[in-house]
This record gives sequence, structure tokens and C-alpha cells, in this order.
Amino acid sequence: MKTAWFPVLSLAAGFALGWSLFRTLNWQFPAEYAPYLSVAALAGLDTIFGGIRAGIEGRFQNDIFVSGFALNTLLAAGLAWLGDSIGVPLSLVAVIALGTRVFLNLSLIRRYYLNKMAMQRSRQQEENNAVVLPATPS
Amino acid sequence: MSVFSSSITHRSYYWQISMLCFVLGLLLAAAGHTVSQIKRSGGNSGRGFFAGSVEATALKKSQEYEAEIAALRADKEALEAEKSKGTVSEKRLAEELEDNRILAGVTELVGPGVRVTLVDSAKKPTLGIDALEQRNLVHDFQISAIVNELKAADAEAISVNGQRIISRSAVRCVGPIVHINHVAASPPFVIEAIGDASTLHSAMLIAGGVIEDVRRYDPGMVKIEKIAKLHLLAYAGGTQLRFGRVPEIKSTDKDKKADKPEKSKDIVVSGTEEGKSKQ
Repeated sequence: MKTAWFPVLSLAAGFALGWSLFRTLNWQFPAEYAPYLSVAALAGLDTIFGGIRAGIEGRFQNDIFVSGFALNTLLAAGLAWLGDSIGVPLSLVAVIALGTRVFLNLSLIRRYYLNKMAMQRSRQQEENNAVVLPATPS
Repeated sequence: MSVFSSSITHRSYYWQISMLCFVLGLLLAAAGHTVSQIKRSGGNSGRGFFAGSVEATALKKSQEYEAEIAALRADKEALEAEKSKGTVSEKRLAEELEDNRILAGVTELVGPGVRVTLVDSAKKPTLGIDALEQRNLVHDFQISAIVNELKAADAEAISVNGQRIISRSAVRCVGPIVHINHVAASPPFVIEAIGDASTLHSAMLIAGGVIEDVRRYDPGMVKIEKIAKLHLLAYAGGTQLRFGRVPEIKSTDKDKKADKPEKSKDIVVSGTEEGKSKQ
């Protein structure tokens, strides 16, 4: 199960590196791009959780995952920009759609682990029973 | 649980996810950093943007003032010396006059600075509030807010559509056009300011400022350029006053005589007070 921590660690590492880079090199995005960046980050988050869920369900495909990450972030930011330029708040739509998916994926991942734990527990009980049962008649 | 396959056989996807998690971390850092920058700059209020640099600016200003005070004192002493001899030179008077004319804005002025061009947007407002506020048009209050921001950023001279902004200038919307110095102007509005180009430029981009507000509707409405050499025309309107007048001043000789002893008294008094407090 140790490998399960790698995504979390690399996320932290990426965040720390990014933050310190922005801090030290004093990079700045123009304020008007802030919503697009946030929507892009949300799309990335959605793809990551989607990937984890697909992995758990045993249908993880790396080309779909990687292309999904790249395209979804760009598309989400692009849609938000398009919405702003035609006067429809599409960034809100992206936030709602992506947010819903993130929550759905999270709940499925949680359910999988809870199920796994429950199954382990029942298997242990069965084993215990199996050991205990033959002992009782004698 | 048919959806979930019995166990995870291939763990390779962890690595893929880890890799992209790293990228996501960078992305989150970019988004978070940008948002925190906006928050630190005061968000929409636009206030406190310079809070960090206030101290440095104040220090620099005070040094400038000190230098100016020293120069003025030297000037004053020289003038006094000349006056005592009874020969105030014409050259000095001309210099003084020129300085005041520059300050008043009645001379042409050349220097580096920025040019801000405002145009009406071709985009029709789709939201009700935008239509109500006519956000597709450039308004007088926006122009005067920009002029004010330029003054705050130490602009030495400002003109709008060739009309020099002086102490009596007003920017006012009159029906569909904007009057500047009581002269009608129409888009594009070209605001030129002489001063430190990069300071003026960044003052224009202040977060929560008027430019950002205009750009939020349509980025194409504003264009900001740094110009190496601007040529501002002189104020050409009338300058006569109808109500104000300069209060009569008693002869300066008497003033000085009256002034000097008082000042020296002050010093003596404060000195003795200090002495007393020390005792």
C-alpha cells in the first residue's frame, strides 16, 4: 500500500515547488486570468480523481488519462474564457459540472475502500469461526 | 460489487497518477498564488495595494523633500543677498516665472510617460446590469479616475485628447460626449501623462482599479503604452479669475523683521523648556 502515497507526495512536492518558484521568481499571472487558472486546476483535480477511480475499477488506460488531463484543463480554461467573451458565465457551469464529478468520484473511491475493509473483516471472522467451530463439538 | 474488480492487479497507474499529481500541484500553486496575490492587493477595494512599499516610498519622498528644502534655502539666501544689494537679477525672475508656468500647465512639456487609449466597446451588453450601466461606453468618471490615478503615481503633466489637465480642469459627461476643459471630446480618449513610465504603467494596472474594471467588461477598451517621448500641449483656455484674489501682503521687509525675532524667541523658549524638563 506504500505506493498509494506517491500521488499525495508528488502533489505536495509539485505544489511546494510551484509555490516557491512563484515566490522567488516573482512570477505573476494577470488578475483577470485567475478564474481561468482556478477552473483549469479544478479540471486537473477531476481528471486525477477520475483516474484513481478508473484504476480501482480496473479499467485505467494511460492514454485516456494523460490526454484527458491535458485536454480537460485546457478545455475548461478555454470554455471559461469563451463564456466570458460572449457574456455567459460558462466558468460557473464548469465549476458545477467538474465539482459534481469530483464529489461523485470521491464517494465511489471511499465506498471501494470501505467495502474492502468490510470484506476483510468478514473474511477474518470466517477464519476465526472456522478455527473456533471444530473446537466446540469436542 | 461487480463494478469493482476483485483486486488491483497492475499498479502502474499509481505512477501515472503521481506524475500528473505533480503537474496538478504546479497548477494549484499557480492558481493559489495568483488568488493570494489578488487578495493581498486588496481585491476589489483597490486599497492597500501599495501598503508594502509605503515605507520605502515615504523614505524616498522625505529624502527628496530634504534635498528640495536645502535647494530652496540656498535660493532664498541668494535672493536675500541680492535683495540686500538691491539687484534681483532678471534671469532669476525669469527662471522663477518659468517654474511657475510649468507648474500651472501653461507651457508645453516634453518627457517620457504613458499613453492610455480608451475606446467604446463594440460588444453589446448581454447582462441586464451591464446594459443599465452602459458598460460598453467610456464614461467621464472613468477618465477622471484614471487622471486621478496618474496624479497619484506622480505624473508631472497630464492631457486628455490634447487638453492639458490643470488645477481648474474638469472632465464631465454632457449628453453623449465628454467635455474636457469645456471642450467637447469623443472616443477614442487618449490620456497622456509625463512621469516615470514604469510607475505610471503599473499604477494603471492596479488591482481593483478603474482599468481593471473597464477591462472586465471588454479588455479591448483599454490600451496602455509606455512612450519614450511625449509632447503635451499647453493649457489654452482662459485663466481669468472672477472671485478669488491674492490677499494683500504687508511689505516683506517688515515681515522678516517681525518674523525673525519671533522665531529666535521660539527657539529660545523651546530651549529653555527642554532645559526645564531636563531639570
